[in-house]
Amino acid sequence: MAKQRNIAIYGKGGIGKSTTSSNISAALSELGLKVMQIGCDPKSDSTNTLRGGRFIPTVLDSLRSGKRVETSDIIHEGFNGVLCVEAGGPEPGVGCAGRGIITAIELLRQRKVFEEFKPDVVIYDVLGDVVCGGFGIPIREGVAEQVYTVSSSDFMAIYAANNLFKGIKKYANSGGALFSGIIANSTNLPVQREIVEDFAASTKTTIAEYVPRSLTVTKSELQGKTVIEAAPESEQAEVYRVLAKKILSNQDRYVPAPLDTDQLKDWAESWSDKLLEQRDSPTHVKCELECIVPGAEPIIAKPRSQRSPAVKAATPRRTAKAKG
Amino acid sequence: MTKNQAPHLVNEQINLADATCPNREERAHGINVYYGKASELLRDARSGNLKQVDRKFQQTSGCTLNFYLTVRVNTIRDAAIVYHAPVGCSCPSLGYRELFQHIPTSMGMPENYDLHWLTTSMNEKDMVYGSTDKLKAAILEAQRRYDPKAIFVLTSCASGIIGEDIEGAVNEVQPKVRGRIVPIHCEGIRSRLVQTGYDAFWHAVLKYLVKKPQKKQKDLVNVASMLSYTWQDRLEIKRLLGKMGLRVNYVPEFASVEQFEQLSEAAVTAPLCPTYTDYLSRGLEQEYGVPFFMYPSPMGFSGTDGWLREIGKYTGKEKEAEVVIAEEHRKWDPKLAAIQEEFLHIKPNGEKVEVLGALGQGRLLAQVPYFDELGVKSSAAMCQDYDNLIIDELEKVIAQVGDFDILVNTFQAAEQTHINRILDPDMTLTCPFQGSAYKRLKGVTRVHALRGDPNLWAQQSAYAGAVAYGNFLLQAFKSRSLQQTMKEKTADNYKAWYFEQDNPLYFRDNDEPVVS
Amino acid sequence: MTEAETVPQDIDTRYPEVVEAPRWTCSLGGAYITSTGVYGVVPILHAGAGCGIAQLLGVYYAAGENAAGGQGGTSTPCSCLIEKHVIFGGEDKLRKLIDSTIQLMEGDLYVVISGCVPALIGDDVDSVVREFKGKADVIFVNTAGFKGNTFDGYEEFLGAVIDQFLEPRKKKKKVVNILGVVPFQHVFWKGDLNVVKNLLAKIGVEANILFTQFDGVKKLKEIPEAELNIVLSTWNGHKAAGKLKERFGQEYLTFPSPPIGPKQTSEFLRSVAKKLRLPKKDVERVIAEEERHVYRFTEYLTDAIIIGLPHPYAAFVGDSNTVIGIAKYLANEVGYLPEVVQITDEPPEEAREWIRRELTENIESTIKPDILFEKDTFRIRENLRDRSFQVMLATSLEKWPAAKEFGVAHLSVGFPMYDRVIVDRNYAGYRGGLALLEDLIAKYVGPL
Repeated sequence: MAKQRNIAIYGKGGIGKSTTSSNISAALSELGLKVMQIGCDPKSDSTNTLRGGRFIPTVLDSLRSGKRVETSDIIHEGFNGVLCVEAGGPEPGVGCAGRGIITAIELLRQRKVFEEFKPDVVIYDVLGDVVCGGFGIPIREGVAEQVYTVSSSDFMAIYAANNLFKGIKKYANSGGALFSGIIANSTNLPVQREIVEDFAASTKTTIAEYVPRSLTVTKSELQGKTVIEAAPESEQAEVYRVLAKKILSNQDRYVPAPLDTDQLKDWAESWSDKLLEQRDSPTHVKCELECIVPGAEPIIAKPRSQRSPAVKAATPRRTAKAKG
Repeated sequence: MTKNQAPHLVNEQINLADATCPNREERAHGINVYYGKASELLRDARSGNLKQVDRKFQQTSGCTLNFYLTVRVNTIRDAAIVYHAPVGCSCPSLGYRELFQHIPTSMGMPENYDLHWLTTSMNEKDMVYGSTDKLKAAILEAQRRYDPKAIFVLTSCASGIIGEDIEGAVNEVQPKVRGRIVPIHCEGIRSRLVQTGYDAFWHAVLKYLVKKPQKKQKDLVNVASMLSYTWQDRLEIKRLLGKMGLRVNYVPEFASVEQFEQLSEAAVTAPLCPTYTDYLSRGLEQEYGVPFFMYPSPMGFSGTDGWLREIGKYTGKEKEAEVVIAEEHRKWDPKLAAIQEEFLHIKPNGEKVEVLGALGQGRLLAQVPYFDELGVKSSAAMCQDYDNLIIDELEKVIAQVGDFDILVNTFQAAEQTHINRILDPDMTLTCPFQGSAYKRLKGVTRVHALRGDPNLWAQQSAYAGAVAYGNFLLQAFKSRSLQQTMKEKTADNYKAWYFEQDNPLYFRDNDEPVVS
Repeated sequence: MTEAETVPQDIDTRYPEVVEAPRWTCSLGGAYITSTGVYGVVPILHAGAGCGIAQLLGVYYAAGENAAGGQGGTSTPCSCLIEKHVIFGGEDKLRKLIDSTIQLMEGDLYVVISGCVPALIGDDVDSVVREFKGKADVIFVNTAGFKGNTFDGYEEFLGAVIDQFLEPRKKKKKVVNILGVVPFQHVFWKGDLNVVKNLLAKIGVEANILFTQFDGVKKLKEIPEAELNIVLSTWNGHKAAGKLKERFGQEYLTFPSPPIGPKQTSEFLRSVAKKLRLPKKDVERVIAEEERHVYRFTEYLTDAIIIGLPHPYAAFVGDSNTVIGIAKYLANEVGYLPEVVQITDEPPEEAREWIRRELTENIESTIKPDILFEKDTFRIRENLRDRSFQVMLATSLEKWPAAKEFGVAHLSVGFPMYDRVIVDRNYAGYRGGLALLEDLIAKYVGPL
């Protein structure tokens, strides 16, 4: 019986970490493994797509009720037997979410849920803005051993990933979790991949997998399901399965080398320039459009330098279309 | 007086639109770590080079809430306190029903009075989810039970860190409550200097309780009393001012809410401790034109002369002041002379005895000259904290008694034990809770009595107090059996190598960036 | 000021923890004061600067005006956390503090206790403490003010010692540990523990009382050697006893409180002797000797009792550990009539049944007292109204209302106790009852 794997997946809010985590959990469960997914985000919706779109009572809710917390209150079975747990947290603008994470994880330990349920893999799905000690708890000794982060090529996501690396580096010497790879989300375009790869190179990290943006994901989520459940034959489902297998087999972990504020700023600026050049390229726009309206032909405005003076004043695409 | 070489040593503005005052570090560049000559301290202060540093080794010393708002605010009659805190923060208030019980009604203690406080016992759940609802419920409970004239809400580290919206809660519930709700921002973490707690208290008083004057009471003198002054001090001050045809508005100890409301009507605000009263005094002058003075305090003969004269000036009672001063001198001069005589005979060859006191800023300024009056030397003094509110006065004291060593620390027992060992004064005046710094071969006694002490020998204010404390000090020289026996028979708290260091600030943190 | 709306008159039951003057401090306080009960321990507070001093004013002084000793009060090392630590973390300060404390203060065990601030900001105290492995014995009590009260802190301290400091040891026969007496919170702790220790020694049992012993830390290490744990409380110390059972296989025997007076003490000795299978003859000999002495001495009091105030109705207010023993002694041996008992320490439900039984079935008067579990000082006073009691055994919080409002003699026997000074004074064991009567009767008896 292999040792329990404890993996933390961090990601900036909205980047797709819950989508990614849930799909990984689902894929791993397909391999016959017992998986427990623990959502560590006050929004408490990490496991929704494993539960038909439904919220589950959170660990902190049970604490709030004042009654003794039983494991049946907080561990709920989802798709394919994946065990779902949500830490919970306060409403926006009040209380302390960081303390909430600390309390929730302590409670899970006290109730000995890992001894009781004996999962093969535990996935912590954590809010990526590691703004205080509480959100760093999954990285500490005795919680997760490996950390992945979900990031796109958007600067905000990169920034959050870099911050995460700082956190990991801090706990590295006291037995904390080490880094195992960037899950590059929504990297459909070559330049997006380049950005993430360059960031990885600059921070001495690796890319675990590329996950393209896909309509299949949106459709599945609207049904309250993971892609694995809603569209098991799709390409996207295969991507998640490959990712899940990689995560399962990858025991490599290392200390990342985060950039400091100035370095990060310089790095970002260097890419801005490149991006501006690329923005108007046909390939870029076509790709973007594909995601929204498959099969559509993009209408490309000519670069400013090439436009006739009469058109300069107002260049809505409609006008360009008429001319093109 | 030397000039300031740095601008803005003291931020004098009182802004009552703010929820609370600035902390002492900001307001007057306060510090609580320093060891050197008083003249050096003064020079650094004037040039703006006085820096706060950290300690690697530090001992518990009180915070803005627990030094001593918890045992002070709850002496206000016809009010109630709500502590928005975990239950430990308010435990010092457990003595509330007994504080003044040894004082007989013949001394002016009311026959019946009730004091009340509630705690919201903030718990784990509150930390995560916030608990302003509970705070509101607690305030309403205070109203329901006690129908008080004021409800003080005191905050804590916990309520501060999670960002509780105290004002929001208070505003919502005020219409349902008869008394005025007075939020005081005294989170323990907000300042290194416990004096910030006092400023925060006065800020709240000025903002929420003091009323626009209905009339001016030309014979009313505001006096802000400290925890370390006794009932007898209160009575003595009342008596002296009474002889001048004046009345005293003694706040906050054991005051009524109405007394706070009337602060604006007084003729003058007089100090017992200048830095304690500073914020209130400035606020009353700024908002209501009540004049104030800061020095001297009524400690020692010449201090009291000066104090009464200042009060006389502001109340048009200069002549009456002189009459009282003359009377008191006639009565007490011989007694002081006898004390001075006795002090001269303690050491051979008329050498002065050396006294080292653990003092607050106010006492530093008042007590050092008073010791000089007694014929006692303070070559060194320990001061709880230092800030620029006393900068001019410090210079005057140095000019009067000469330079002296000064250790600025808030109750750091190790440092205080250290300095007592290496300087080895004839008498050390311990503040309470000295953590065994009392174990020594020479003299030990207290700096001040407990406020609930009704005895005459516990006085320290005015002429009677100067004589009473002088006698008290003499008494302390007459036996050393307590401290010597304990020194001999019990273990030292600290390892021997520490006392071989020159500097009590051995554990000063030189690695941490200096905070200005 | 606007006219107030009518405030609803019914009590808000949503927040039972909102109370006037509860008779305890927080969880950090509990762990801290307990740690100073062990000689040789140096507590290190990772908290704001006020936490330590608050306990001095509100617990040590409230426990019979006790000073906190060489490692307590202003001597207690503390990280004195402020705003900048809240924002940037306090681990660095803690590291320097532990390091300098080990250099400066002699100690056999350094106990780091965390407060609200590091718990909220998520300081990784565990890893800082681990850095000192090999340099000194340092353990960490992971608590915070908001996690509970004194009694929780007591269990947390013992829990930390059991988990982090104790190793299994060979068991020794006739050696016991005494649990359930919380230093300072139980005002007579020093006296009670030592009386119990001496009594057990008389029947050949060596008691490790954990506190007030000079090789204190060595004695902590010896905890696993005991054959049996004795818990002198309906609920305090039960968690620790459970842990010890789990870890070291030690059984435990529970009593409702330290024994007060001859009847309770004889019962105590017999129970312990039975459990440890001691020869009955020896135990009965000790019991007979002691009872003979104490009952003869009780005769010195009988005039004062009978002429002064026989069979008085009595009101009791205090924590369960204190009140049960005292009420039972006075009712069962001195003819007192307990009218109302208010238990102030909020014992858990499981303990309340036992407490009720002790105060009804085990009370020998035909009146059985009203038993109220009340922690709110305001309501406690209200509960005393419209009753017939003629004497009150309570805390110093009841002193002034009692003396003035109810006009009865009052003796402080529980926490908080600001009106007495307690060093060794206690009411435990055979002669404890006499001491109680001395203190109590003096309150009202005039020249006979």
